[in-house]
Order: sequence, then structure tokens, then C-alpha cells
Amino acid sequence: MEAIITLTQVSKQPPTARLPIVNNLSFDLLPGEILVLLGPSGSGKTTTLRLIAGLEVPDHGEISIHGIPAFKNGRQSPPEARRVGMVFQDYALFPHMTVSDNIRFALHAYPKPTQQARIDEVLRLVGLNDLGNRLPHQLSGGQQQRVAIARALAPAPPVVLLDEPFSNLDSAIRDHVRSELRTILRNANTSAIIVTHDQHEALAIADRIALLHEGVLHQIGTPEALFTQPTTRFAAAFMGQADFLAVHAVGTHLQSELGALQFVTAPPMPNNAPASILLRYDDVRFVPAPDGNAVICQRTYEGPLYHYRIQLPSGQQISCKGSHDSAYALGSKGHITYNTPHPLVYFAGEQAVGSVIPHTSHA
Amino acid sequence: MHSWQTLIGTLRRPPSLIWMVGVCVAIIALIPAIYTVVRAFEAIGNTPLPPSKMLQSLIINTVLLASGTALLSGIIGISQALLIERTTLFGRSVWRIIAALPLAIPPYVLGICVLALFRPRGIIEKWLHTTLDMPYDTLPFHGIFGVWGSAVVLALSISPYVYLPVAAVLRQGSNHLSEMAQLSGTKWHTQLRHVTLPIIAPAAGGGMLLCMLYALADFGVPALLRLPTFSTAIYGQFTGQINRGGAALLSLPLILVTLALIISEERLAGRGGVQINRSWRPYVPHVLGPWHWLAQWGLTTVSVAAVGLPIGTLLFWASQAPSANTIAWGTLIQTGLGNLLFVTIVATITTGLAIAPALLLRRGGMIGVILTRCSQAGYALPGVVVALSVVLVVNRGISTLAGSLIPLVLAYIIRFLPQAVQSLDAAFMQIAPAIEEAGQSLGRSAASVLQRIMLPLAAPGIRAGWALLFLSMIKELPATLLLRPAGFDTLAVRIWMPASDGHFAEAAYPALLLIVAALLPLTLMLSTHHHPSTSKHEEAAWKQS
Repeated sequence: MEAIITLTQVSKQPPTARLPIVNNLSFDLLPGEILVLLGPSGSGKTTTLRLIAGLEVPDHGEISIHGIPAFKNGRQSPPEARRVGMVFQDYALFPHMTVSDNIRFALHAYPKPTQQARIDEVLRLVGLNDLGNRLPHQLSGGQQQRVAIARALAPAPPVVLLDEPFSNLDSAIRDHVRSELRTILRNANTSAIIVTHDQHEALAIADRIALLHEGVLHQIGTPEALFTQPTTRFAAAFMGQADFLAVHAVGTHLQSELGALQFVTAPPMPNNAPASILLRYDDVRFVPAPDGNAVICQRTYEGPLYHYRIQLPSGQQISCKGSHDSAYALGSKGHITYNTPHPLVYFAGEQAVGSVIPHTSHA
Repeated sequence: MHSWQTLIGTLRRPPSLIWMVGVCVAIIALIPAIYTVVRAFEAIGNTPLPPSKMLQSLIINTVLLASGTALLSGIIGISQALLIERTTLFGRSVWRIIAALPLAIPPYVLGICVLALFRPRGIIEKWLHTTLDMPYDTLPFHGIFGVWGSAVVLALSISPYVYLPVAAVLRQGSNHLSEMAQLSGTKWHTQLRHVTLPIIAPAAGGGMLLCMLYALADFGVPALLRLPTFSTAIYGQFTGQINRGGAALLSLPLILVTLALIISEERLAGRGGVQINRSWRPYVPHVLGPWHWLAQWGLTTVSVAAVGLPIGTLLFWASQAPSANTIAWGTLIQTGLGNLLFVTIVATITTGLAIAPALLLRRGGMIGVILTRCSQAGYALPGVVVALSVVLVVNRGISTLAGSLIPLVLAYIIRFLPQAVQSLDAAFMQIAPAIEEAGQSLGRSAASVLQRIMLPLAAPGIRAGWALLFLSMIKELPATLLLRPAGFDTLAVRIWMPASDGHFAEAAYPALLLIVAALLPLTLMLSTHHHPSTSKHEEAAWKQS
């Protein structure tokens, strides 16, 4: 499949900044795909979106849209020529125009008589059939967002860019709006790049996630790949609750204070080489025992489950989930055992090296 | 490649027509200023310098007048704003209007009234002498003129330049800091010192610098009260001895000081802006209690002096006016209407021209900023100097224009363009950048976005800016006096001519007409001030509801 948008080694550093905001960034957007640019604030994700839209100019690299260079050798095509729809964080609806006129503004390439039909069509698509005559300030936040989406989709661009589309919505309606947006984009047969700093949002809506940190692309892949196969410690920590348990290599095993783990993919490391394994809180289990050497030092009730912080003999703390039926008291002693059917990722320094599985005899 | 984009702006750069207009405007605005400086340096060798004794007193007078006016305006304007916006004062909505009214009364009109009332053997002395039989030499009024008299007159007239921005900050600013201070149990005066004053400091400082600029440039008041300053001395060199080199020379220090003030004003304006946020709520006013009457008395005194006194005096003269045949009503009305038409046209042209620099300032990259700064050269030039420089250029270069209205129009445009650019820039600033970007990302050209989005959204601010221009232009005096072609009169000239000969009563009718004419744009300005209809404000409003 030919990519709709291709970024090749794109960099951007404002004159006043000490470090590049976007650093040597390359990725593709495939037809029909929803790509999420995920990262903490200051990671360069919004700048990347603005570079694609043509609202900012890169210093280096190439951007091509629909196979046509949009930025190459310092020459830049203007935003109005890029056929890219954009939904701004605060929606940027024109406050002096009705909903219909806001959408009509995007339809200048359509012959006049067909404009109204297209306006009605996109308003139906976002479920706002009867609100064409309202002014933006007469709409709720969720409705404004849908108008912004309708306006971006109106000229049928092959791709829309959405900057933090859910950040101005109440958490109560977010989940609903999120799945609705997915449906709208699918029905319009449009690819999308969505910027967000919320990893739950990214996991829920993305076909692929591109994880950015300090302007650098850490990892790009499916949500499952990012969550279960992070390539850096940053990616592992950012995608969800994570602990890194110190281990060292012993022959064909990694030795941890919770027991030995066997290499599955990467070649064995030299003896005694230090490493760490990624533990999510459902990868281990707490078994209460009066003679246990692990102690519960913190307990958080999260509704469906309890989230415990547990201190190991070495002093390191890890998280562990527990059933909401029975709560262990603070100070309870017990054993920690591996509780995972899937391999665990291990890191040497910042980089993921391979994966290991717990020795069955310890399970 | 990167540097080119820094120079002329990114892809959101304005259409090429805007660039062309911007370049023309910058050239028109810059040539007179440059030429004045050149003439001044030419004159250094050839023209005898003014005696140093005179120069010394010019410097002292000008500095004292400018700083005294700024200080007094600051005290008046800040007190008015605090009392009106932050206390339970009775009649606050009426005071809001009254405090802005001095803008409709030119300082020289107040000066004429003060002069007629308080001068030796003036109205008050005569009244005391005839009705109370007091001998003239026991009367105490001789000392009220000079620097302090001029400063008081100017400060009473232009204190709205401090009051309006400070009141706006107090009205719009978030209340959280004050609430925080209250919660931590501080007294009101501690709050005032540590919370409120720091918040209004940039606005008040900016306003006071504007007052200082105004006092530096003002010609009417010091001329009336016989206070030699740089402005009056330049005028004198110009008209009396036809010594243009000398006039240019005297302009030089004035230009330099003004430039320095403008730079500090810009620094101030950049700081401490107050943004409206979603959680904005009205301030809970401070209860004045027994101090209420003192506050009322203070506000009343200031407003009586600034507004009541001149209007009362003018009405008194008007009622005393000799029989109708001595007043040429026909020519007066004609002058008035002609003046309104002239000012309307020139204010509209200036607003139109200012769109280009205002947009270039926003989007034009470094060259855009430089062009805009050039077009604001007139800011550094007091009215007298603008008139002088236009005369110098017209006489040297395009002498066929002498004797027409063109030099006067040029002088008005050069003098007031900076004001227009500032208003428009402020109007465009109210539009969130994303709105403009949204326009372009929807595939519209920059020109189309300007026409369909930017101008309609900025319209309230543009209207207010136009009204301010109208107000300033209709009060303009020195450039008009120096550049008007034979047979062209404005109301300001009709006030000035008889008054400068001591026939004060004859100034009454044109002055009253001028005040009425100035009230219209003032109303327009203030109503925009109170009902901001920009996206941000509307958003704040509906989020609250």
C-alpha cells in the first residue's frame, strides 16, 4: 500500500530553543489508518502535526502528502494547497458564522448548488442534522467538536489531523466520543493522525501508535506491540504502570529475587551482566504467608481491584493487583510469584534486549 | 532557506497587496522623520544655536511638565479606577462614563477656561474685586501658571489614558489572586500593595508613559500658559523667525526623548497581560463604609475641575454672547461640518492604511516587524515636528503640493498612524491564532481568510480604533495651525485663534461644537470597551452560563 503521508528525517528547532522540538523524525501514514502521535507534553507531537499541516516550516527533511512533496529542499507548499483537514484543540470555529457557514467556508472548491447537500451530508455524518443554523457559542463542547470534525471532513480530504481532540471534553462523555470519532472516520473513509498525551486514549483509538519523547520517535507499532513489546524503558513506563526489577545474567537464565527467568529470544548475556525486567501489576501475584519476605506497604482501592505496593527483601518496591473481594492489610507478609503466561521484556540500560519466561518450577 | 522564512514570515504570510501597502506606508511615514534629522544635522554648523540659558530652561520646563503630568495623571487615573471598579461606591456606572469624559475636551479648551478664570485680572479676580471690593494686589492667583499649572491642566485632561486601561485590567482580571489574599487573612491595604497594585502596574505604567508622551508633544496648553517648552519653542522658531534649520535642531532632543519613552512603553506593554480565563467571576467589591463620602467628594472634585469647569465656563460665555449678528453662525456650522467630513475621511484612510502594518507585525516575519516600526515613526514626532517635517519635505521636493490640503492630510496620517496600527494590532490579537490557521487549513487563500474571517472578527476593535483616531484628529491643533491652506478652518483653529488673542468668549461656540462632535466617537469607543464581542470574551461568557 502506498503511504498517504511520509515524513523522512524531519527536524525542527526554533531559533530560541536549546534542543530540537522534532528530531530526525520519519514515519508513514497508510490509507484508512488511524495513527496516534503519543507523548508527554513537550515531546513535539503537536509541532509534528503542524509541520504536516504546513502551519510550521521544518528545518530539514522531507514531507510528502499523497506522493507530492509538501516540503523538500527547503521549498514548502502552503497549507491551503495540502488537502489536509485539521481539527484544532479548541476547535477554532469561526464565532461569527453559523455551523453551516463554517462548513461552507471549507467547500469553496464545490460548485455553489452542491454545497448545501454536502453540508447536510457531513452534519448527518457527525449526528448534528438540525443544528446548521446555530452559532458556535450556542453549542455544547461536544457539539462544537463535532462541527469542527464535520468542517475538516467536508471537502473530503484523504486525511484529517486532530490535535488533542478530547482534551476539552468531560471525562464522562470522552469514551463515547472516542468510539464515535472512530466510526465517523471509518464511515468517511478517511485516514487520521491524532495527537494525544493520554495513553489510554491512544490504546483505545489507534491502529498504530507513534510514541514521541523529546522530539525523538521511540517506537511505532500497534497498541498491543507498544504495550507488551516496548523497545525502551521510556516506552514501557509511558504506556502504563510499570516496575523495573533488577536482575543479572546467570548462564541461560536471568536471576531475580523472585526467581529465575529463561531467555526466549535474544542471545544470552555474559555472566553477571546487570539488566532489568518489566513487570506490570498483573504479571505477579501476592500469596499471603506469615513467613513471607514481601510486605504490603501501600494499598489503593481502584474499584474492580486493589492496587498494592509491595516491598521486596532487597528494598525495591513493585506493584501487584489483587481481587476486590479480599483486601490485605498494610504490613501483611507473603510471597510474590510470577503470574504470567506471556514472556517478559528485559532491558540492558534504556534499550529492550529480548524477552524471558519465568521458570515453571517457581510458578 | 531558513533565514528567508524568518525574514518574511512563514506560510501564513499576508497577501502581496498587504506587503506593497506596508512598504509604501513605511516610506511615507519615514521620510519626514529622516529628513528632519538630516536638516537638524545640517543646521548644526550653519544656524546659530539658541542661547544656552534658554536651552536650559526649555529642558527643565519640558522635563518637569512631562513628569509632573504623568505623576498627576497616574494618581488621578489609578484612584478613579480603584474606587470605581473595586469598591461599593454609589453610582459606579455613572462614574465610569464621567471618568472618561475628559477625552472629549481638548486640553487647550480646559487651558483657555482656566486662563480666563484664574489669570491676573481674570474673571475670578475681577469678581472678587468688584463684588467683595478686594484690591488686586492682595489676590493670590498669580502663582498658578507655569509648570505646575500646565501639568495640572494637562493631567486633568488626559488622566483617562491611565484610568481606562487600569479599569479594564481590574474589570477583566482573574479574581483568584485577590481571593487567595483574602483567604490568607491579609488586610485590604496589604492586598492593595501586594496583589492589586502589581496586577495593574503594567497598565498604569503604560498609561502614564502615554501621558508623558502627550505632555512632551503638547503645544496648546504650554503656549496658552506661557510656558516655554520644546514644542512651543519649535513652533516659535518656525512661525516667528522662519528659521527651519533651528526648528529642526530643536526637534532633535524631543525626537530622542520620545523614542526612549516609546521603547520603555513597549517593554511595559509586553509584561503582565491579564488573560480572561474560564473561571472568571466578577470581583466582590470592597465596602467603603464611612470613607464613602470622602471618595465621592474626591471623584466629584476631579470631575468638576476636568469637565464641569470648562463646560460651565463655555456655557456661561455662550449665554453671555453678544447679539447673534456678531457670531457668524453660517461659517461656524460650515467649519464644523467641513471639519467632521475631513476628519471622517482622514480617519478612515488612516485606519485602512494601518491594516497593512498591523498584519505585517503579526505575520510578516522580521521584515514585517521592521516595516511596521518604520510606519510608526510618526509616534516619535510631536505634532509640531510632524508639521515641520512635512513642510520641509514638501518645500524641498514636491512644492506643487504646497497650498493644497495634501500636506495637512499627510501630517495627520503620519502623526496618527501609530495609534491606528496599535488599535488594529490589539483587535487582531483578540483573534486566537488557531482561528486564522483553521481558515488556511480549509484551503482558503490568505486574502480570503483576511476578508472573510479576520476583518469581520476584528470589526469591533477596528471601529473602536477608528473612533479613537477621529477623537484625536478632531482635537489636533499644532499641525493644523501650521499646514492648513488659506481658507481651511477646523473647529480647533476657530477656538485657538480668538483665544490666543485674549478673546476667550469667542471660543465658546466652536469649543462646545467640538465637544459635542467628540462625544460621538467617545461613546462608540466606550461601548466597544464594555461589550467586547471577540471569541475569547464570548467563550468566557457562555462557559459561565
